[in-house]
Amino acid sequence: MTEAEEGFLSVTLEDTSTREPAPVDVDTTDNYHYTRDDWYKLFSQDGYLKVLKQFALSGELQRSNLRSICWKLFLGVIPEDQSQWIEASNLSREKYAALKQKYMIDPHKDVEASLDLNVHNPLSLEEDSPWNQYFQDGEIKQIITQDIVRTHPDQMFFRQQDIQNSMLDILFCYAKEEPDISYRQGMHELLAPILFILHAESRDDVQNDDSLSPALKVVMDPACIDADAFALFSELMEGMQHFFLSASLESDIIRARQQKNSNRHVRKPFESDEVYLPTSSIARKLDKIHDVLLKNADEQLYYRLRDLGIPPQTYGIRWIRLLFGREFHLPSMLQLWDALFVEGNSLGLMDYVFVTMLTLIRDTLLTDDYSTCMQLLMKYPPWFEVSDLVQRALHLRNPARYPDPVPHVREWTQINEDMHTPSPNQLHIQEDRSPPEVVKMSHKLANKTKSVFAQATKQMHIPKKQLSLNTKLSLPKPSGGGGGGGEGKSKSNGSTSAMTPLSASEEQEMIRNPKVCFYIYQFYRYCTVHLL
Amino acid sequence: MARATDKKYDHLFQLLLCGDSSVGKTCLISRFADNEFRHTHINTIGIDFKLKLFTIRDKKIRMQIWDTAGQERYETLTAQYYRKAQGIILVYDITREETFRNVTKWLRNIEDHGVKGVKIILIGNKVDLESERKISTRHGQKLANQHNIKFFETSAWKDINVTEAFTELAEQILAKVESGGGRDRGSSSIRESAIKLHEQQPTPATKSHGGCCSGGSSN
Repeated sequence: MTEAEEGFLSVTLEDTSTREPAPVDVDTTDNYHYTRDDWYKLFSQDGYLKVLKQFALSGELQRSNLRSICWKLFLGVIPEDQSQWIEASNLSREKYAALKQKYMIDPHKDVEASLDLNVHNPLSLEEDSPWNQYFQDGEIKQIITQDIVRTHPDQMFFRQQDIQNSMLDILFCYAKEEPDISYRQGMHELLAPILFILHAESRDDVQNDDSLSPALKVVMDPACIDADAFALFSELMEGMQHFFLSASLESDIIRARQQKNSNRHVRKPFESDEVYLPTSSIARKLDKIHDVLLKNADEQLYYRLRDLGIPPQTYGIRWIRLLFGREFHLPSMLQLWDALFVEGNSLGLMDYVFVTMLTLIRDTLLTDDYSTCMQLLMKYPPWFEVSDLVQRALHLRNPARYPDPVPHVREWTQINEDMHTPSPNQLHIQEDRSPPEVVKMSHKLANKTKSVFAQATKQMHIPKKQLSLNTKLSLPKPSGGGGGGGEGKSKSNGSTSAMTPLSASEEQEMIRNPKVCFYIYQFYRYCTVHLL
Repeated sequence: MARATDKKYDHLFQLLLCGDSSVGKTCLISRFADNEFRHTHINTIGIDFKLKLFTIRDKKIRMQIWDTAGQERYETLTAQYYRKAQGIILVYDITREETFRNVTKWLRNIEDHGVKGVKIILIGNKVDLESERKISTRHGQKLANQHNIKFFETSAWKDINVTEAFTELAEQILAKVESGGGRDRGSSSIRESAIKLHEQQPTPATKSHGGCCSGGSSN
């Protein structure tokens, strides 16, 4: 990024961060005002797309009510030039309408007069009988429906029949349009957030506001949500579809395509070996993430996972196929997708997010046993802040351009490592190295810990000795004793001391100390992973 | 470094569940491992993992249960887990004919990828939906007999026969391990490390112990 760009960005960032409080009549039109504000602030300047992308990376889009337009821009459903929005929107909507008409065959309604009854009857064995097609389609629809009814079971939005119908239509049209891949499990969870966002942001008051640009109204037309969801989903799948192929399916497709192109295809040296490798794209991608990126970023962790015998495919297939959808709650996931979509469907940051997620839980992975590690990877702990995660991923990819976002956490990690090595000299931490954000972070952690604690206490099956937070936190000095923080839970000596509340001043005192923060952090993680 | 907890069991068994999508594999595991049931379960993508500590004949068994996605029949990854499993639970849905028809395909898959002599049981799930039943008990039993494996009809929802089925499989594996015919990581090795892709350990032939399951037709 050039200096000029950066200057421009910082001005705009400042501008938006001082978002004016909503007007007096917020009660009824609260969100709408934000929508209008967003429109004027985010979309009305030259070069606005660059700014939007910066916002997506910094987490600022989380507050926007025009995220669906940002996604359309990032994924290329509409171009940056707003004068082309109406045309682009109409084109993609017409395409979806045409696909629906083409694929939604219902022979019951086919009432042409001159029908050949040898073909047009339900018992016909003819290949091109519409009935034959109808029955085959029914099977695909049944498979899709099985997954749709299981989409985000806790979200009422996805329990609505019309939403489920929309999902079925979209996934079915995609399956027919891409017969090589058809429908694969997991696609429904890529579609779901897209549909959710489009519904959440479409508002009648946008349509009724004469002061807003006609282009905006067309792009946000509530009547075209399904078509727009299909367009966004198809663009996303352009980048994702090969992750849904299994090895055999993939080689079948490659072979078929090669036969098709055999006349003009010139085989490059060694090509055949590569093509017929009996592993799937996703397996190869995960190997690459593991063997190259993770190894570079954190060699110790790389060897640890290898020694444990946990291949990245075990947990990573789900991470990638669902774009981390099960690893985060919906709002956090949307924020993560903002950042991932910045580079369009090449999803360039995905691999770095993957590795960052591993390094964030490295302490447990390095010290705990196979089962604990496996459970942690299969059920990723939910507390990390997405903007922090994205900043770390950016830093991992390009340290020169993106500074390390939270060096103090590094520091804590360093403490942890030191705890395991008997060199007390390294344990000294200078007070003045605790910048304000450490204190801020400490407060957050302490608050989180308290609520986790309360929950944990309620669950009677937890042995009290594991709840002795005070024993661990009141360690005055870790003076070379080793085995402090990380292993505290297995060494609590059966202490059954009940939790006594800390006074406010004690609490203040404690959380100013990075070492204590680290204990809290470790403990919080322990609770989340093991007890809840 | 091994922790004290690693030794708290006598045997470590690895089980794998397979079968078509939506037959109730994840629900069976949830019922067995956590004694819970949810009507709306999210579907499994790739593979999932659950632990259960379980006691049979005073032996503490630590079970690593691998849950596979129904649509992943041809996935190379799944094949790697087949090779590790000492026991496989093959599930169909008694209300959906095609899931029963596909049992044969799954069995062929197990034959291709699983270790020789792996213990298998067949489960017809969702007997709580008796009015929608498409596959009779007799049909299920007959298929199981043909392949010389044990058969159970279960309901993860109503908690019918679930523990019994898992126990039967664990019993079979335990019998095999105790007779010296099977791999067992728990007692021989303290360190628990289950899935190693490069590890290819053929199981010694155990024909003398009755091959697969001698009790196959006794149910």
